[in-house]
Amino acid sequence: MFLKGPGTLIGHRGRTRRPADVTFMHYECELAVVMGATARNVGRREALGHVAGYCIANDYAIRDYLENWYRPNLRVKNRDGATALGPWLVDAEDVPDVANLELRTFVNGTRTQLGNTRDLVTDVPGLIEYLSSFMTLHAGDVILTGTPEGIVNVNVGDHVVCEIDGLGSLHNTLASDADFGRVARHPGAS
Amino acid sequence: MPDPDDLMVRTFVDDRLRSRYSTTDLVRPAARLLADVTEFMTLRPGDILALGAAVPAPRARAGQTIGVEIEGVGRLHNRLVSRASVAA
Repeated sequence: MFLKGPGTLIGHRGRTRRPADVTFMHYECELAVVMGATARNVGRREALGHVAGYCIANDYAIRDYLENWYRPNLRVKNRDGATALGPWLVDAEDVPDVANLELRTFVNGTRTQLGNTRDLVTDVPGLIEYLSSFMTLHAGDVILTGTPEGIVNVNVGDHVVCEIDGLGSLHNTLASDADFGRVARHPGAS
Repeated sequence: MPDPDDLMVRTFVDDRLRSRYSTTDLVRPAARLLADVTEFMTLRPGDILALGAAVPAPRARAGQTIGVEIEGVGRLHNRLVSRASVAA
């Protein structure tokens, strides 16, 4: 697991920059868990009682820049505006079974990703127990819980929609370097 | 303000010198690292960017005091404690 800074977050209906010099930039539709209370050394049985609610995350990543699969570097996972979060926070009490939610991603209207939170390698209580065993979690902290298979490259202009049952649809559009007032870098440039 | 790319870094464990290296030997100079990171990530006043450390790094045990001294910057002390000795 890895940390992301607040600058990477962008809300519903945002635009995320896709650099010109990459071959594989992909979405990652994930269940996001928003903590509602301080959690330190919390066991899995008490874990969900510390959760304020849930929403959807789209944790874009650029495979070209990845150097270590288990410790993704800043350039992959801390890019400005590259982690969409939203569209709104759903209270925990309105999500009766967080372990049985279908996730779907659509690119320009075509479904490209399908999964279910029952397939998480570590379930939400397990994640809270694991993390809180060495780092104190605070209200407002957000845990992104992983993405199923079905990630594909997206290009400038693509409209990406991530959905999770009961949590709505999170929309994002890929934009170019020029759209952000940036000069495009090309492979081989220093 | 000293040149960040020409500083000696010394690590002490219980006041014994255990490693020393110069920031000259780091993979990227500070200015280059800042340029590389800020290309994709905005840094704001108060943000801290660590420049990296030389390997191998010295090991220490609970009960020992670590001192990291950088010429012109100061010496940072920190003590390692066991989990059992820390209040829950």
